[in-house]
Amino acid sequence: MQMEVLRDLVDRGAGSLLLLLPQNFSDIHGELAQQWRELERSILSQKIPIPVYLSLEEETLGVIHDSLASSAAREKHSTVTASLWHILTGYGYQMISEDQKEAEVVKDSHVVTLVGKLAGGLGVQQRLPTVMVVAHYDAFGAAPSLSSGVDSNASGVAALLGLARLFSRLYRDVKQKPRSNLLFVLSGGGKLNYFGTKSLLEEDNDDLDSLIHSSDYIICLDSLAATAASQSCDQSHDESHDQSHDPPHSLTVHVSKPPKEGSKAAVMLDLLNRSFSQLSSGPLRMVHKKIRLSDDLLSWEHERFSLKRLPAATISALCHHGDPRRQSMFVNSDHIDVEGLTQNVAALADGLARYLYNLSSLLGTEGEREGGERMATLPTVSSEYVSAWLDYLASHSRSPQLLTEDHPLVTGLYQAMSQSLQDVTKLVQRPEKSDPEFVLYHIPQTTLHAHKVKSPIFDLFVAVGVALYLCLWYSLIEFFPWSAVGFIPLPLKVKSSKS
Amino acid sequence: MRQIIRAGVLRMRKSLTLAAELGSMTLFHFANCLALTVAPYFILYRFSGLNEVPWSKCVKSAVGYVATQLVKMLLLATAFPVSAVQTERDDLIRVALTCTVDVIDLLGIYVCLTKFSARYENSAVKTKVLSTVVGWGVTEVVATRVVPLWVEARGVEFSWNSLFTGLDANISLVYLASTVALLWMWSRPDFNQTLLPLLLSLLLSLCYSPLFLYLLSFSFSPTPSLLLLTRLGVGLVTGFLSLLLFHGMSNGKTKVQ
Repeated sequence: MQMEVLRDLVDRGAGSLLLLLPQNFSDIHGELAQQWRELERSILSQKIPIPVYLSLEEETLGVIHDSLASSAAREKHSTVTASLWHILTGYGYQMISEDQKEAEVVKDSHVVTLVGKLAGGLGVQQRLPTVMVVAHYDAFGAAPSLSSGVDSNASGVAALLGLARLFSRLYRDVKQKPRSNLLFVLSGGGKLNYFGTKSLLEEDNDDLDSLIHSSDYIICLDSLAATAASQSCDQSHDESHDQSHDPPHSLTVHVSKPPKEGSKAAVMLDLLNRSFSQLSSGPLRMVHKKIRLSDDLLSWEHERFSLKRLPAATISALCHHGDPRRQSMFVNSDHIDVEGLTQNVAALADGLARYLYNLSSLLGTEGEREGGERMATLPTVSSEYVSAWLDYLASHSRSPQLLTEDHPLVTGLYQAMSQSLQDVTKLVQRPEKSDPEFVLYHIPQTTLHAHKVKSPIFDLFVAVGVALYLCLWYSLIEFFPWSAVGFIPLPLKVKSSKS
Repeated sequence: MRQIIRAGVLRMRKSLTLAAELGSMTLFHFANCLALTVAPYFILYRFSGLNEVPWSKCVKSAVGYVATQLVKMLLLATAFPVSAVQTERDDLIRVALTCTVDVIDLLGIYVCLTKFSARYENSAVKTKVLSTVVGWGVTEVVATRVVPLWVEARGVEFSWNSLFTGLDANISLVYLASTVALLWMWSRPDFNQTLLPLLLSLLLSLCYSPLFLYLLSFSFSPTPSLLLLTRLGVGLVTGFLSLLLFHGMSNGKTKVQ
């Protein structure tokens, strides 16, 4: 519906378009949010010949909008005199933006990827297997400075930081140290076709390289906290429609290739599956989607790894990669189920811990019990920690062009990782000079000036008025019998003439 | 849904008249305001028989105006320095001071009237008064109205202000004409001294009307249009009284002669 309105406006010769976004995105819910996201997507995907401005709905803008709306409503049904009166008394508004320059290309565009690890015990580090947890931390939306990407992928980042903190406690105790390395990656450029991940795999760093290539499994986290309404992609959508409301929907594992029976990947997924059914919303649902090389963009982060033949999967609450919530600014912390996210983190931690401590072979009751004992020492996930990170990330826009090397948010993430992980490195990754993978533009921000203006007809009226007034002046000077005033019989006059 | 419609579309006018190209108030509007401000003076000059008098006489009054303003400025700057912190009370004092200093204007007009027009002793009384009014008034209106109007014309925003400025200039003309007529009367040797209190009170009320208006706006905060109307009312009353006096005297004089 919105797109039609837009096209109609362009046809009618609108100079530009100003979209007023609600001041607080938490005010928009459900269907409305979906409509906003659709509008956002259509604005992004279509060529619009006029400039489009986005602004939060401020008081002044609200006043202007209301007055315009009421005058538009009045125009619809009014008499000639009423509309004339309106022309005389009403105002029009003229919007002028401060500068209308084209968006500039960012000169030194780069993304920053943060890598940190927990080295396993008993054995040479390089020979130990590795489990990687990856989440990208940038966000995307129609207006870069308004894109805070709460679900995609602040939830993933918060989950990763929660996991890192939790496992750092396990790894601190030498006796408890699992015989695997854990590698945590906060990748930049996730919305730039996972550029950070791509560069990470091409990184000329032997240590890192060997760690990555010895990985048993790579778990990518993306949008772990979305609530409801993701059933749409469910195959059995029609059947489960009635029940779709009652259970909190389970997470989805996206893989490019189903793991072979008995492989480490299968074990890992099996363990995660069990943990999720016990601790979180239910068993994981596996979605298998082959990588289409002909596509311009990869759909999930794990595909970067899968392309290098590394076993990887993305865990997400969204079951389709094209979900508009992944690339929208109309998602905010009110749409997020922090409780669910914490549960998901706990389940992830549980599954990972089971895998790291190699509990897969002990599946009997004995194993369960022993596992239970071990698990007793597994610290619980602090939901405050997770939600604090979520809030912090949600309050900052995280468009890729903003997240430079020394951006406070990047520094903050770096410090958070340094607190729990070893050898945290900040990888600054630049696109190739000759054939850049992406081009970033500076965020075009401008100040709009709204000027009250009168219609030309009003000026015409004023001109007529002025002309009439001047005629009056002329006749006063030319024809008014000034001296006649002097003949008004006044005692004063008599006196003065006598003197 | 409502919100979407609401947020929907704020149409911006593509090129609303000339304004977009000029980046200023519409030329039309500017012309209107200018005409309203200046044209009365022109009409006065053109149609009151003043154009038969050499216009250097008006120019002399104009020079007189400039000189008087310089003297006023010097006096204000040296004797009444502006304090850094402005309170409302300070503002009141400032307005009162300005009005007091405006008495110097009366002196300037008096000098213009008596010295500069001395050579035209034989010309009509009306011409004498009017040439001073036009010379003094045009300079004043250019300095205090047209220049601000020009500056304001650079903004796009419409405001009633510029129209009010034009109307105000017209009222000022009435004030000035009354003042000059009163001063002329005072300058006459055959002036009836019994009328002096009335004349002085009229002059003072003309001079201190800004203070009166300031007090009015201070205590009632009326709309600008209401303030303008008040100013017009004061101007009309004093103007009419001055006119009565003036004609009484000039007619009486001709009778005597």
